[in-house]
Amino acid sequence: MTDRFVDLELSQTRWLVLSTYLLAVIIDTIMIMQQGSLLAPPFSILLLMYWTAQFVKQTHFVAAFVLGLLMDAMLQTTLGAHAMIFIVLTFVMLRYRLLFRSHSVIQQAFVIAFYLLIYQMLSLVIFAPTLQEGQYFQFWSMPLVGLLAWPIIALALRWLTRKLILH
Amino acid sequence: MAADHYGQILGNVRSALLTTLNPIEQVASFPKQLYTLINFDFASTDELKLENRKLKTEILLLKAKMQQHTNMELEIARLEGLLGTTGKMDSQRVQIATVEFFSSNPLSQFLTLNKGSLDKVGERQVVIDEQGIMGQIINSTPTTSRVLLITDPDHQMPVRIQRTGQRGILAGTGHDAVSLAFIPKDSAVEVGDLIESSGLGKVFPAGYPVARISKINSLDSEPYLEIIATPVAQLREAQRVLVLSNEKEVTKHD
Repeated sequence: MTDRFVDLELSQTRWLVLSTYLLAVIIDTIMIMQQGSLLAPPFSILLLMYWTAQFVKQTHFVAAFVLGLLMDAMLQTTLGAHAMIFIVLTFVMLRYRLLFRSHSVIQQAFVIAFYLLIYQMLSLVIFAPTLQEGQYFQFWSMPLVGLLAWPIIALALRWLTRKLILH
Repeated sequence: MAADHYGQILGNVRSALLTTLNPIEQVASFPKQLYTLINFDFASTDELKLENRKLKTEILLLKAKMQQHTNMELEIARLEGLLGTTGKMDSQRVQIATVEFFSSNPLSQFLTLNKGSLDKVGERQVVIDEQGIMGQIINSTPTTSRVLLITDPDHQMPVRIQRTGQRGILAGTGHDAVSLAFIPKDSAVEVGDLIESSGLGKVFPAGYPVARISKINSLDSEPYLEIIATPVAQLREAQRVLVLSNEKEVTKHD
């Protein structure tokens, strides 16, 4: 399609995808342990979005559900609540992923920021988090941090895929 | 979602997920453990000696208090004997556990302990530190257990004000405070009053300190006072905690 994503089959990189998901869950756990976790976007969502756009033959719903369930267990929220949010975002990405792949990394970052905004809005409606005065700014700034983080993540994963699989 | 929210039917699924997350939490807490280890290694011998001396003094004081406590138990038994009632002193078995993981976010407030079902630690057991009640265990895996803190917005417990004996419900606010509900406006409540567990509900044993009242608001439109309290337990700092057993060591004095 474009040179922004590497043309690969999921079967070629299954171990890489699984290890990056594992790494994302570890980073999310570290963020939950640190008190400044409100600003940090969920890395598992960012990774899920990347791999959903990378491998167009799969729906990635199983990955979304499992990652969401792990997030629920991690945050002690109702089982299935995060899983549902993850599946909704994956569905939106599935509908537009061919268009998303044609964007430049910077354009993709804006789309991801929009997805993270949806994530925050759904979180606010479903979980009703108890935010203090100063925390509202952090809560709504998370998509902007995701916007800044996406180019680094996308380029790093593309480089990693090329380095480890194609060579 | 509904099954988990209303019926706690998915408790086993959650335990399985937490068991899966155990190694991930271990890896995630490694940087913090390393930092603590380095800090401990660099602590000077003088500091350690000082801490040792302080701990010895504390043990001595506690032993003296324990003697008084034993005397009081016997005294109560004697008085109850005179009144012709049956005395029943409950002393609970405890297990020491280490805090492995602490989370305080706008969605939930909990701790992970290094004792699980293999150590006979299970749901609804109460966790305390040297100051007071911290929370109760809500999930346990074979090697770890998760404690819902009293400051969690989903947590509520029956309490009474130590000075007046007035009962109410203590609820978490989601931050480092709790709110005391159902205290009428004409109550003689004061800032600084200690709130202790009332023993109602049969989850939390009676008489353990929980929080100290820090703010009292009286709103015209509300029949009850708006009371904010600060937990007496060191929820963020505690490293070693005590898990109270559900099985009681009952000493009967007939």
